[in-house]
Amino acid sequence: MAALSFSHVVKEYKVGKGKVRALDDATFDIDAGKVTVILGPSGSGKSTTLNLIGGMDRLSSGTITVNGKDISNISEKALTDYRRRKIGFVFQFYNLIPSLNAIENISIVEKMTDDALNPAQMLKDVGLENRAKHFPSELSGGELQRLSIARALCKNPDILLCDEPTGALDSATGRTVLELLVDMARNYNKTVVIVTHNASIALCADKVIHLKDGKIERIEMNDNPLRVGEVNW
Amino acid sequence: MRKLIKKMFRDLWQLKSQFVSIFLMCMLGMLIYSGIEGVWNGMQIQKDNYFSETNVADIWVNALKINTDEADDIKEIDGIATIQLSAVMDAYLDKETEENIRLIANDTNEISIPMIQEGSDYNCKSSGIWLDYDYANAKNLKAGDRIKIFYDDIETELTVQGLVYGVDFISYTGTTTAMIPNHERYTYGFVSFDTLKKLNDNVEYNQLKIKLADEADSSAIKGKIKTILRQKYFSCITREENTNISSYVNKIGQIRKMSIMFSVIFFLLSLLTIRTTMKRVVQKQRTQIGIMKALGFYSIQIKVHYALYGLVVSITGTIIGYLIAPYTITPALLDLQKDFYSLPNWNGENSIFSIYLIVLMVLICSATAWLSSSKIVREMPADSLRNEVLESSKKTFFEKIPAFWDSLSFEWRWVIRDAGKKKIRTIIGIIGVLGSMVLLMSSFGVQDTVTEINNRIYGREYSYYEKLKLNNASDETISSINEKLSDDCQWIYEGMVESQSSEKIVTENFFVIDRGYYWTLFDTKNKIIDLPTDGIVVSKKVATDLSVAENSYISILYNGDNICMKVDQIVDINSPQGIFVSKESWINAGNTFCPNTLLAGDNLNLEDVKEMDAITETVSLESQYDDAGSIMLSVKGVILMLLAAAVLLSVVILYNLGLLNYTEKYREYATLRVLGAYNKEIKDLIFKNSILTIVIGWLIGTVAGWMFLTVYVRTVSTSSIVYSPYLKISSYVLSTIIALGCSFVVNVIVSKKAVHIDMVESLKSVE
Repeated sequence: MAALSFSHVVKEYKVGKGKVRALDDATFDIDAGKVTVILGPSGSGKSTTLNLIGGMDRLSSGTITVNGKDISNISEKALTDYRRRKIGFVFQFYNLIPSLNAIENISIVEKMTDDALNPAQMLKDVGLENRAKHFPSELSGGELQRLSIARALCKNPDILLCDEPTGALDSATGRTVLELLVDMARNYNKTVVIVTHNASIALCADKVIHLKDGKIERIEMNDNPLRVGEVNW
Repeated sequence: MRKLIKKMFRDLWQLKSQFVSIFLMCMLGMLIYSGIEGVWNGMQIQKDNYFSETNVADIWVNALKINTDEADDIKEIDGIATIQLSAVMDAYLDKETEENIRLIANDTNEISIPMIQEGSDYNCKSSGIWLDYDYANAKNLKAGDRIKIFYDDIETELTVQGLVYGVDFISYTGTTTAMIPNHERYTYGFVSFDTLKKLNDNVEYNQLKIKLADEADSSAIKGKIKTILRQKYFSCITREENTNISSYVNKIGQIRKMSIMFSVIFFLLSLLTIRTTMKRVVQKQRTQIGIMKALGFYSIQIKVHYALYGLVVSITGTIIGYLIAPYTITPALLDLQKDFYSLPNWNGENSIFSIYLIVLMVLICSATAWLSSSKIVREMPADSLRNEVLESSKKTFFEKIPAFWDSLSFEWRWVIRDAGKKKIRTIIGIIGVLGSMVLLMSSFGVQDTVTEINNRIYGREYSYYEKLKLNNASDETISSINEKLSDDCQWIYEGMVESQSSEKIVTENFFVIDRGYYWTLFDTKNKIIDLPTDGIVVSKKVATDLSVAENSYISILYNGDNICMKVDQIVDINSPQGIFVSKESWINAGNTFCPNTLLAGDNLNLEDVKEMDAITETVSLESQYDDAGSIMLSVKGVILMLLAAAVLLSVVILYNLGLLNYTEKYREYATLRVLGAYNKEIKDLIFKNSILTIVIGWLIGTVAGWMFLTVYVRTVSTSSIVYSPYLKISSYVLSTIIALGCSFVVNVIVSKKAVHIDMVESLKSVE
């Protein structure tokens, strides 16, 4: 069953007097409870797709449905509600609040939704229970991303949207973080969307959507995804 | 380097809202300083020129019938350079309207020379009169006109030979009942001794003007003069004690203090603002600095480049402030002084110190900008080109109080930790609101103070309807008046006496007060002062002048006799300043009570009393109250200036800070929006960010505002009224509403930016 569907989605940006088509007639499904990787080089339309899935931008034409509900033309407030309740975001550069400690960084999203998970439990789940009172500046890159994952999951969202989650990490740390991300998503039965240019990550995904020059190049289904530990980074 | 200058101007334009606030603070600081400096320095220069051109006396000796032998003996005293005998006599220009004229006849024209404005040069032997220029102006008189002068039943007509300014009459009120000069009612003129003789055959020289040699000891000289004149001696007044002159000199000092007090706050803010802004600019351009270094720019070139930001903004701000001050603040404030002082020239003039201040401000601002870049410039280019490390945080003091800390929301914890982390910025915000509160409380407070103290003096302390001055009133006259007024009056002796403590000799106001309810003395805390039946009460100002404490003794020279009396109490009193004795105490000390002032209620027979020959002058409480109210005029311009500065200060500083905080937290706000925070929640967060500084600034501002007001009201105090600070609750509330209102409006404007947050920014790397 599709958690999210793109149907003939087009996104154009105004550049000077002209227009640039960043996403051209994209049609695909994101399957519920599965890991989907959106893969492509720079300028392929990855970020545009991520912005549209995350409800951070509006499409020019086409339809986006979430659990069967069209979100293409909903109001600004409804779009915020969608991000608030449906999407958990994992950023490439963690985007934690420097003045809040680890537990506070998770707790800040707790009030955004009624069925939020326990922040302390989330911290424990990502293995940072001993770092609860530490500020982001006192944590390593891997710990920061684990914290970011805990924050994203704390809202108990339907979809975990990850923007290059290992992009700022070395390969060993990246692998650990990815493993945690996939495990956590499976444990909590979440739909995971990873937007990346790193082809190795695609090997762990259930579905891979290849983007090139703003178009869907191909969609691959992976019946036997590798375990993160098996991937050659 | 030319390219870097181009880059600097582009940066300045891009960050204009932040640099404009530094520019405005520099401009306002300089505008206020040089504007007010132009006033006091101009007044000082005019005073110095006036004093030197007129050879103003150092000491005025008042005595009865000074003869030439005595004058010669005084001239021989060590430390006296020259002397000049004068006969001073009060007459009338119009008895009906009580236009008084003080006539002065000098034996020579060497000391306190009248300054001619129109007509012929003053000749102390010639007939005619050299009339007060301000009176002539008010009455449309000019040289060549003739005026009539009356003394008792004698009348004489004199030709106006010239119009003059008398240096001894800079702030001449003519009577102790008036607080400000009234040129149409109290004037003066210079005549020959023969002219005086025509009006009063018994006139003699009764004043001696003295010029002292350098480093002469005026106290010792006073004592020697007293010995020579013995019973004839009345008083010896130095220039500092002569309120006709000293009130002007003191005013210069007061305005000088004001210029420093008000400009310091703006200069401090411009320095703090430039530090914060430059630090942020340099942090944001860390990569650019790395690129510049990688391209081969020397460290010194980069440091000079950033120092130029401070230089350009501060130099334009201070110079513009300096240039517009002589056309705005200086003339506006000088105009207000003209009602109180008579001087031939009123020109604002700045001292070289204003230029030094510009140089100092520019140097400090440039150095601050220079220093802000030096740390990053020292880094290796590779380090500067790397992404900045994550901003560090640490626990605040409040986290040691778990009960308090745990009760706070995450937003508040964030705000408090940030405030502790960015101390300078927090301090700027606090000073912005604090400064605004201080200026608002001062401007409203000075109005409240003058009004309240005047109400206290002319509403509660004095409750008579009219005050009447008498000359040589006999016992019969007093009895007759008592009878006419059915004893519904109060008798007083008031005058100036020379008083001497073990350390000093000064001339002070002296009051012997009979029982009655038309004058009740109150201290500044509104407590009634009961005059003792033994001893005297002195005001705090007099106690300071004489350096006396309670239970010490002072000697009062009254009608040629030295009367020694014990200081029973020293009281803090608004007005008048002087020595107070009850009639009983005065009589118990072996003296006779000879009143010269009558305080009367609104009695049916009062008009009859006013017609009596013994009455020389009358003044109603209402007109005294109006006179006192006009003191407000001298501070009105300053008040308006302060109100405008207060609003500008809080708006500019808080907007700049709000913007700085907003741009710095933009990424966090964008992240929160991605995570699903509503616009309203981000707006609340932006709001909370400045609430802390606003509340702290307001609280400290309330205390600082009161302290500032206390100092400020001293600067508007006169020799007769010492103002104690007073602020109505409504004024405090209004100050709060304006200060917090401005902060609120600024916050609303900044928080509206939440709508335009671009969430995609949160996805970018930290640059």
